[in-house]
Amino acid sequence: MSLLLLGILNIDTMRIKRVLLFVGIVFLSSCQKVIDINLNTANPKLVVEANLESKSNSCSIKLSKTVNFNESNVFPAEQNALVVLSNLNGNRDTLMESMPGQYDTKMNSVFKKSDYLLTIKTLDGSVYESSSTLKTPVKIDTVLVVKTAFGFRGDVNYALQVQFMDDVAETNYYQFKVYLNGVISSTVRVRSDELFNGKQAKIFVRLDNSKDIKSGDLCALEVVNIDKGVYTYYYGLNQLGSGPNGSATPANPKSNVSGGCLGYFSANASTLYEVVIP
Amino acid sequence: MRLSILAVLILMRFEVFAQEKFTVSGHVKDSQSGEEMIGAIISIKEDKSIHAMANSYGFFSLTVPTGEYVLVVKYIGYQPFEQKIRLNQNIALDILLEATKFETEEVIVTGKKDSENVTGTQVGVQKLQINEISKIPVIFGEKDILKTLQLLPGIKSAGDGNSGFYVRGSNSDGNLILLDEAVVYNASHLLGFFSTFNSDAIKDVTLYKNAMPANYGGRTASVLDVKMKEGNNQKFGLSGGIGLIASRLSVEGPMVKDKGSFLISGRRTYADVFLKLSKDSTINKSILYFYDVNLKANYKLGPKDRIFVSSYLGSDKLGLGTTFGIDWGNTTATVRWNHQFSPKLFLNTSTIYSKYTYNIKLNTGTGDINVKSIIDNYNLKEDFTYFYNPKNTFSFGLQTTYHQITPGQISSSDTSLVFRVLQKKYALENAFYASNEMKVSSRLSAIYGLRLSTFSLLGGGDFYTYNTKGEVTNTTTYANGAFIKTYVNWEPRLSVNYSLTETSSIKLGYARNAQNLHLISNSTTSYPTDLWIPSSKNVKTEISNQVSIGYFKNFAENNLEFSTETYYKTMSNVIDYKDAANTRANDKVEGELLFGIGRAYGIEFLLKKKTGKLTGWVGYTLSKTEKQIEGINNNQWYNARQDKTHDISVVGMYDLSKKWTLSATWVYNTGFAVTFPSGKYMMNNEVKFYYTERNGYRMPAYHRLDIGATYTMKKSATRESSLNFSLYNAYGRENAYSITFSESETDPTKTDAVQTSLFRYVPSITWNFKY
Repeated sequence: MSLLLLGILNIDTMRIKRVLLFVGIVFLSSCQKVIDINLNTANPKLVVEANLESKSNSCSIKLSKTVNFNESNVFPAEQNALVVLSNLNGNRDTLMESMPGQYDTKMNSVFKKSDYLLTIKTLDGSVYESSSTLKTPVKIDTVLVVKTAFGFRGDVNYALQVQFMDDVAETNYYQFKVYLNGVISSTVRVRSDELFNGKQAKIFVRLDNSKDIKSGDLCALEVVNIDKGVYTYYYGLNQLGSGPNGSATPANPKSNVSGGCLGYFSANASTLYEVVIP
Repeated sequence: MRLSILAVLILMRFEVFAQEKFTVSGHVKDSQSGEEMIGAIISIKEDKSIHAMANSYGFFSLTVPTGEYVLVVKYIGYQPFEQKIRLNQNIALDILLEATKFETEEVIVTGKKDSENVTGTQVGVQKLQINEISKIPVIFGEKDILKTLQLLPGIKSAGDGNSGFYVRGSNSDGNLILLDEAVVYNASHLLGFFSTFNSDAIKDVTLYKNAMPANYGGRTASVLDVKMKEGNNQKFGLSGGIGLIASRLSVEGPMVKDKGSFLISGRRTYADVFLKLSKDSTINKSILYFYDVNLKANYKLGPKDRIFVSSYLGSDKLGLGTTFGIDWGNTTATVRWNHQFSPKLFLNTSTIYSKYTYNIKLNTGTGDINVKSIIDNYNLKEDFTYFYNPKNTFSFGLQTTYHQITPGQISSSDTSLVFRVLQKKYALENAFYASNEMKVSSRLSAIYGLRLSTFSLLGGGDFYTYNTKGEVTNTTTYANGAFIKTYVNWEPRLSVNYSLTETSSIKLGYARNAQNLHLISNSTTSYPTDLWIPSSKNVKTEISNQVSIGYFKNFAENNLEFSTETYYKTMSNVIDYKDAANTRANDKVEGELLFGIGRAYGIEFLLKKKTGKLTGWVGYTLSKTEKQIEGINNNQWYNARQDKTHDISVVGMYDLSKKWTLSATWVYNTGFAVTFPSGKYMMNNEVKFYYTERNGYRMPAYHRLDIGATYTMKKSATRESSLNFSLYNAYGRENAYSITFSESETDPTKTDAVQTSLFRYVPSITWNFKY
């Protein structure tokens, strides 16, 4: 259903855009080419990718910086920052830099339904702060493999249908991560429980590159219970990611980290379920 | 209603005092077809200062002291008409104008040697007659009034593949588009490559850029008033055209000779025939076409009463293979009744229905999903014209409209699916107006009017109030028909013309406009699925105020027209969107909106040559449009997307011989303001873009040359046959339709800007005929 609804929500933009190009192709006149655009330069900005994982009791934070558009995709690491993770129970942990820009810690245990605070102090003295709530992971009842003909050309696509019970007591936000033979898909999929609050959820999660999927492949679905700030960030990342003629006027997704940086801090309460493609 | 009856009574009393004067009134018509001549000028030879203009129904009324006069009637492309009249009583007179003889006619635009553009009081107006545009080259050979209007200053195209247009810096949803008084919500076919107006069925088009008469209202930018032909009431006729991707056919004729006539005009494209040639099974199973039908009939019930019925039905169908389909269309129906209370008092009553729908169908393999959206409105109008004396023409009336908006309702054959239910919205819009066209002196004339409009959002259903973050703080449930919120607006309108000399004048205009239906589209391109929402507790009336001043000068016996107008416009309650706003299928969409102010200013120049072997015009606009909205661009002013600094258009038509006419248009404009990234970063192992300001960049400049040739095979009073050849984008300029950013194919460590362009060298050939 996730797949279907996301389809509906984005249909007007994504698909019609393709249709429009298709109309152009029909009239044999559309063409694409790489052009030179003189884009402004911007001061480097801190980029935070911070994940606290309930499944491994660990926290992993990557700090990097933006580069100008015309530069190579080499993103400088933010080194020697002071990164501190704490929670309301008084636990406090300073993360160690294991690789340039990569800060990690392993915790003895994590506290469910707890707010975690992240403080980053960079060498230039700037301070960035964020908090994220670690929720209770859901219990996945089952994951089914479904074949659909949803594609643009009516090709067969694979999707997973995951079933679990949504907690009626609160508004939940879910992120779905898909691994095919151990490789995580880069597509971000998030969903709120607005339409199934307190009910048995049946969510369709579409698999990327259906063409490459063979019988016997191992597929894993991770359902992550995330908080609203993280959901808002990922929703924005999805909506704003596709350039000036994308579905929305481009902008930076709203970060849940304060202090003027890009990125997010997500406390992930997750459950994994593995299936084999029949 | 009561108010206007009172006004009628008051005006009736005036008439009693004017006894030494008499009125000549009637209709001006084409002698061949009986078609009414809107805007024909009726004057008295003895006193040039006394003149009147035929209204939308060809009706005129002129009141002068007792005496003998020569009545002169003029109209573009027609021979001047003169008749002696002795006025010692009221005279009813129908005037038949002869079209200029074909043998002497070099170009259809000839004959207009009057100085209407200098002497006309109305400010900021552009008129086009279908004859004028028939030789201008257009894409796929389909002559199109909307595309031609965009060649005039102050009216800007929304780009290739988009029939939206921007008038003096306003958004495209600020254009009130009327087809025989019915509102057309989406004036495009085939995702914008064609407009909904089939030029075979259209008689006359008027676009008001400022100071729109007080009988129009409801949008902040402009009024585009399109009038359909009445149909020939003398004899039957058949006309049409066959082109590469579309064909047209019209039938017209008398129902009862001299009493009534009808017109049926249809058009269909067959672009999808070419799809069948494709080997790709998705493409050859796809559907891609539109059709539209215009119907009109009128009947004279008696010397004082006439009834008109007109209707439009258009639909687009688009389907990709069997998995996805979308269709959308407009339906309008108008019934009008003209009644003449006296030679001086004219009433038109209109009942109008207008509907816009779209449907999306999706086959998922496990079931069908449908999304359906409808806008309906029902409209009643009473418009009085009182021709008090040659110096004063009063117009007044009232309008009431009931709106019903059904936003994207989703349903499915798969019952296990749960969808968000979007409730219907209802609104009631009322307006009263009064206006006077006054000749103050031989040099000074004015049209001044006032419109009082109200807009009420009606229940029932749940309505939300939002905090500044856009979160719902309160939900109130209203009963059906309950008044939830009412907005009242006074909208003054003013046009003043001061003649400097016989051939030059200065015009001043002011208008305030209120808009209570807002198009919500958080995308950079407009789609048929964009959503209209009514004003509510959160979304307030959008208001624009515009002042303009212009200088008009004709040279060479009115054969060369020059004009320049400068304007300044302020806009309030302008809508924009939060970053990543979800405007699709969202019942709390109002929480995703931001409100602010806007301003637009500019100067327009137009030089037009109307006669001779070479005709055409050159237009130039220099302008600026900005918005300031809290929460966008650090609360600083930023360029609106439609801000195009320079806009040039050149249109030329040249009569090579009696058989051949050549034509060309060239346009140039600054690219749209867009948001491009200023940097990039790595996020979850993908490259993402970093944006620093809203609309801080420009698309590349747009320019294009179109050329055309018309070969007239046969032309007589009754028969016409011609071939039209055109080449769109003749030098193959790759104009940017979109620019996207992606990983470079040659060097994955770099990021490329990729430009997509549509339409280079589109040739077409169309055969047009008339019997």
